[in-house]
Amino acid sequence: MINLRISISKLHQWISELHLYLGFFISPFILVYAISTIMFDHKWGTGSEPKIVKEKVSIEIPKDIDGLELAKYIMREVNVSGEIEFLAKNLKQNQFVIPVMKPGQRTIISVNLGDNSVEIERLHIGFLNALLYLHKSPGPHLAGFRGNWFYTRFWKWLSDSTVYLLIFVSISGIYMWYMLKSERKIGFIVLGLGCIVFILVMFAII
Amino acid sequence: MSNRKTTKYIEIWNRKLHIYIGLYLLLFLWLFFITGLVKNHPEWSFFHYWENRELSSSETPIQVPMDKDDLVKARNIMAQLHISGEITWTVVTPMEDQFNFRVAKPGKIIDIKANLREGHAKVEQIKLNTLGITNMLHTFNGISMNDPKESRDWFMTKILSFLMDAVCIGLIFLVLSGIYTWYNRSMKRIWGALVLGIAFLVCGFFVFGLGWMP
Repeated sequence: MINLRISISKLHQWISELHLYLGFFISPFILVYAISTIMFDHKWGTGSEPKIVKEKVSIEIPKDIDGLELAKYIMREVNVSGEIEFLAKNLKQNQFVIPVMKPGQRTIISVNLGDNSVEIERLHIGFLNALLYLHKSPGPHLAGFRGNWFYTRFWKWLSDSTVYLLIFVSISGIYMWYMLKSERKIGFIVLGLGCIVFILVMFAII
Repeated sequence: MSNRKTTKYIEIWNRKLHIYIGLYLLLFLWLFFITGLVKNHPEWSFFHYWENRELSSSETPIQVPMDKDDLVKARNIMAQLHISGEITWTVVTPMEDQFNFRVAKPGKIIDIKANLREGHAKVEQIKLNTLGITNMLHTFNGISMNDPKESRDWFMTKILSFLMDAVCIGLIFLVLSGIYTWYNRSMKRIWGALVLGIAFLVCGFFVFGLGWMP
């Protein structure tokens, strides 16, 4: 009986510590998602004019590579990093356009395949747009292409982990609340109210 | 009230509110976070709801609305057709007396093509399954970041948008109140600061650091 009590108390302590530390780990990510959601909801962060920096360089373009491989080669040569949004080739103008995105910056690389000249246009879109971009990244579109940059894949892993940890933190939170006898009654009322509001809204909106 | 008493009072209420807000928002949090996870994994084939959508089409006579405003005109036709939802766009073709508009709500996308000369409307409906509905709920706020003029025109979209804001403010409170509770426990300060510091460093690298990288 005493052993069981000790192991329950240890389990409770473990759950409480994991709730704290894992909750702490996800907290900045939660803030990013929460703040950017409010921005999406009120169209904040879209009005500011980006700071544009342009430059023109010439590079050696290999003939034996194409597509994503060529785009990555050009990016290395012109010192641009980020997630390639898509690739566009204008055959008539012999032009290859590579829009590259990363938090706070959008770069458009226009390559003239005829004379090997490259135009680089960097748009500094600011901190607020960085939050909006991270919220949507990597997203559901162009699944096969998305994640062509290491940090996009890393962010995807972090945002997935945030969801899994949030589920753990919320379940451990329920356990910890249930163990507090003094809060049980009001807790049930609040939980019930939340569920009722959720169900009513879902019924009304669907 | 003395300082000590005030601190104790804040501590107690901070803890209580942390519990109550967490419990109140539980289902909303699960909805938004799980649908967010699904959106990040389009390769999960069991979530392919778009392929399983239902299409239907019908034609109904309508009383031609005399209103000049497109939104009022669209609402008038929607009321006649017993359709509710957010009007996402309207297109008028005066030469053909054609008035087209789209209505959306979680799980439904309805295109209405009203012929104002002959007084009938063609209703084309796309209906999604439960997974489609939950996915649409994640982004359904009635406005688009790319269209500065667009505003919410359906009461329920306004409610959902208010709830999204409330969930976010609740989440921010949960984070801050969690940090406050920890800070008052002197025993776990070092480990807590370490975890929090690492987390903010990693997240800060993504928010600020990547933009500074060449």
